Amino acid sequence: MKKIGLYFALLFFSFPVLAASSALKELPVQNGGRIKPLDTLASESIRLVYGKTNYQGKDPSTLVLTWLLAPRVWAETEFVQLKNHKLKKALGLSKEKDFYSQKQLASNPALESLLQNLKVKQDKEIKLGAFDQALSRLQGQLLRLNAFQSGSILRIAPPKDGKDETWQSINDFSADHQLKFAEILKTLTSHVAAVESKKTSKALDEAVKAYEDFAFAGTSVKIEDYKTRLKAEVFFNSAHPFRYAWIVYTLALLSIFFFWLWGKGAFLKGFGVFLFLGFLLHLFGFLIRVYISGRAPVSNMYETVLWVPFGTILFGFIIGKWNKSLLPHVGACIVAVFCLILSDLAPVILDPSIQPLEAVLRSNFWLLVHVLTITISYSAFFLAFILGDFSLFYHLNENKYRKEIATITTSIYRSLQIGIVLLAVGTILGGVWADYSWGRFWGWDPKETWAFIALMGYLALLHARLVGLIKSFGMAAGSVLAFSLVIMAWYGVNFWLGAGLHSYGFGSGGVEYVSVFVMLHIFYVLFVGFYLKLKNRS
Amino acid sequence: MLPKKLKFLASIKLAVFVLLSLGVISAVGTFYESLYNASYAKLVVYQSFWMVAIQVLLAVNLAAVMVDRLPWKIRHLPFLLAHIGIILVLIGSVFTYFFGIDGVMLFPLGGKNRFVQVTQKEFSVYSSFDGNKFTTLSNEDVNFFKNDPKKQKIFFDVSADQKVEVLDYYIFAESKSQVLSSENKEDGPAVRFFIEGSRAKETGWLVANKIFKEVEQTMGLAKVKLSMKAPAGDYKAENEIYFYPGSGEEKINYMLFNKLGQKKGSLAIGEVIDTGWMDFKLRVLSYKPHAYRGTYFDKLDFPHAMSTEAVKIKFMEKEYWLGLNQPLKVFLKDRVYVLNYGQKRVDIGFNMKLKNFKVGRYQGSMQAASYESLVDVGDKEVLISMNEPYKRNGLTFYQSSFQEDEMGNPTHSILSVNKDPGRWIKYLGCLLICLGAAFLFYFKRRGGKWKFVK
Repeated sequence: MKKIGLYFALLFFSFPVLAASSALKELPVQNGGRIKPLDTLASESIRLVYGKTNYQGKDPSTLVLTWLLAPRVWAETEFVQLKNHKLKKALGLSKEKDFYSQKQLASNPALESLLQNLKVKQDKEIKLGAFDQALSRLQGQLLRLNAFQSGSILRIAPPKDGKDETWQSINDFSADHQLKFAEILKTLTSHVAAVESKKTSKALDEAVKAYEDFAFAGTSVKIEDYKTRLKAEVFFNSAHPFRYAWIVYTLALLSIFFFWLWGKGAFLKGFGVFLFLGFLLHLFGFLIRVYISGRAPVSNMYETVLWVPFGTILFGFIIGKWNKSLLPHVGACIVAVFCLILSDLAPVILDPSIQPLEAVLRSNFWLLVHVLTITISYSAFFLAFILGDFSLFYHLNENKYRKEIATITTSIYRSLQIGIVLLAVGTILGGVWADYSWGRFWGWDPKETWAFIALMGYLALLHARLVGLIKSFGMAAGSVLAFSLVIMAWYGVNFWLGAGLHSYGFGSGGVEYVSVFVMLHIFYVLFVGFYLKLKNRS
Repeated sequence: MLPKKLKFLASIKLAVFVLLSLGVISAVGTFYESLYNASYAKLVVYQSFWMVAIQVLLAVNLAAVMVDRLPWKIRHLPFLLAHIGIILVLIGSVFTYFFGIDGVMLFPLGGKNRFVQVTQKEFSVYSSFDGNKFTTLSNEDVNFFKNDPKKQKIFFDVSADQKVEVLDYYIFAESKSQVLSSENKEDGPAVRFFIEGSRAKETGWLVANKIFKEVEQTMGLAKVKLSMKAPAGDYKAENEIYFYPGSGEEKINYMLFNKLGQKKGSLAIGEVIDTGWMDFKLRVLSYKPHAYRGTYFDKLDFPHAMSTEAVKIKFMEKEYWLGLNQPLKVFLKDRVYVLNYGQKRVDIGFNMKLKNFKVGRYQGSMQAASYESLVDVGDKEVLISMNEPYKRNGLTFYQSSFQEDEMGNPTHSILSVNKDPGRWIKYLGCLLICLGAAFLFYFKRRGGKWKFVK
């Protein structure tokens, strides 16, 4: 094994781009409470350790197997991401570098006592600030590397008897079982050396299949049951449908921008085409993700960041058609680009991996109805928010844009109505679900309380409009300001309240960036407000 | 229509004020919840006077605006439905607050229980002459958060001439234990020692008592032992020091075993002995011929997972600390008193016994996917699982969670028990709100430019 490893590692580092065969990527592994393809486990592990999935263009499945084959080489490679300044200081590491080697970190004398302190805090369930979160991540990174080097994470053999559901890792293998697995490693080495020739790729596929036939023989598990799902997941990992969606949505925005500049009808058509295409890609991504995970795509923060803009595009379409206005479509497109880029570029904060659901969330029906309703109300409010931004801009020249302001105010009002009905119904459904599951209709839990607060805010806005307390400026300003309540309910409760109010510093989930986003909008509203006040005085 | 003087009660300005106030108070509550915990946030914010007051104002405002719009027209339908719905939800909540039961029942595996622990606290004193039959001497509902024992005298009468006085109350506290000298001659000895060598050093307390007559602490291959009485004549050991009480108060006797053989003697506090185990020396830091482990509590500013409430009491001239749900036993010559500051226990009217408890994990992981309890309720066995509760006597029993040991084996099943007489009122209210909201889309806005079409 050692010889192969060294040889392999030398080859691996000398060839820039390497690809494994599809069979290896689709090798089923039991991890995180489900069966996933090796490609997913590898990508998630590399993302955990290195910060992103792409390490020098190398194929993830191959990469993680070299962790197993050539542990000593990897132990000295500086690829473990560590960014938190305080943690670097506590470990006596230089501030300039962001990547360290496993050896430097694991043998660090300060690390053990830091981890002991962390454990005490975790036992007491004290909320972890940025430093502790970074420390916790470091612990996870080192454990993950160890798990690959020892092979314990490679649970690739289903159990022989039906009772225990735990798959065996390569450590538990019998001698001939190990031989079959070693065959995969051998052919992989040849494949790499041959710089991915078709012949070695085929040999690798065959070795993987031979292994799978051996491992699955005589068990109650049939690999055919998993094959399609595994293939779909590997495809999903490389296809990045949501990434292409925001690229196409951006093209739509460019088209409408050119239309605004030059007025050529072709650009308007282009906008419509790209918007629709982007929507299809968006939808396609959802369909695959639902198929792979077997549940509605709203079970964690990452998934909601994909779903909300989807709803906004839909509402933008409905309201744009009703009001015969372009702005709802454009606004929705901006929201979609913004959210999808966020989901793509913040993998450490927004975890895209498919995780098992907490037991209490496993009742599919209620999860579907309640969470979908609430998050789609956020979509409507997001639309009102961006339309409010547009309206505020128009207010800077009230007289010229009288007609536009009137149309957009109607669109805002529509969006708010839709949002309020959905939020009220969704919040009530949440109470019904909680009552059904554990007998408590309302427990003042922060997530539900903030949904309630957002509802109060928007209701106040609508009631104020009823008697003319606020007019077009008030609607615009209100829909922008009230969206902060939605941000709090959607994001703030988890990443700010849930992380402990005293958590700040980079890496604590982006609270600073979100705060800046909210602050800027408050200033924008105040600016336009004062501008109008001064203008109306003269 | 409302009389002129009361018009403002029906004003929308008041409505906007009420809505915003509800939002602000709720938001403050969530910050309290994040800084402290959910029950503290409830105490201080969600059940506070201000919250109740604003909800009353809400109900008044809603009722006033409905009266003000009399006589009602068909276009008022959504508005009436939504507003009556909200009022019903408020009424239902009042019913729930006053007549509802919300608590937990803890079952060890194979254990029995017939009491629900609710949020309300009580202070109780029991006594027994034989350790089997207990009489209740005092049992009262208490709220030390509202009634600070430092600001007012709080007593519980135990008998004609005895009482328990509550001296202090910490809402967030951490338990600490200490070894104290006891006047009770039946209490066992305690020794505090410090053992040091070039390779390692360690400090320890050993306390023996009637239940644990012999206690020991192991360090590698050597052992320090403490016993209530001297070792038997033929007692042999390897690398051990055996402590036992001396005849006086000052010195503790010992028997030392090492590779050279055995040695007998006595040590005073502060004295050092060469153990003969490599280069380790042992020093006696403290010796109490009669001692007990006492618990006291440190006050915390913020709670954490292992903190609890604590009260300091004075009983029979002595001061004691009681943690929440941690009864204290005071032994006298002829009887024992049990004092408890704990959650009130409500009798459900029948016995429940946990026959079996199963946890379903996500494959290959320790994360719980589902859990269920098989419970014997007297005349049959029922399976209670997540989303499948059991109803009886007007109560509903839900599988809430469970406790497990370090190995991941479940040790206790926790059921949440609930009685909500306001439930159907609240549900009806919610239905009306939803209907009102839905109808909004079917009505033309008065004087508006747009119209919804079905």
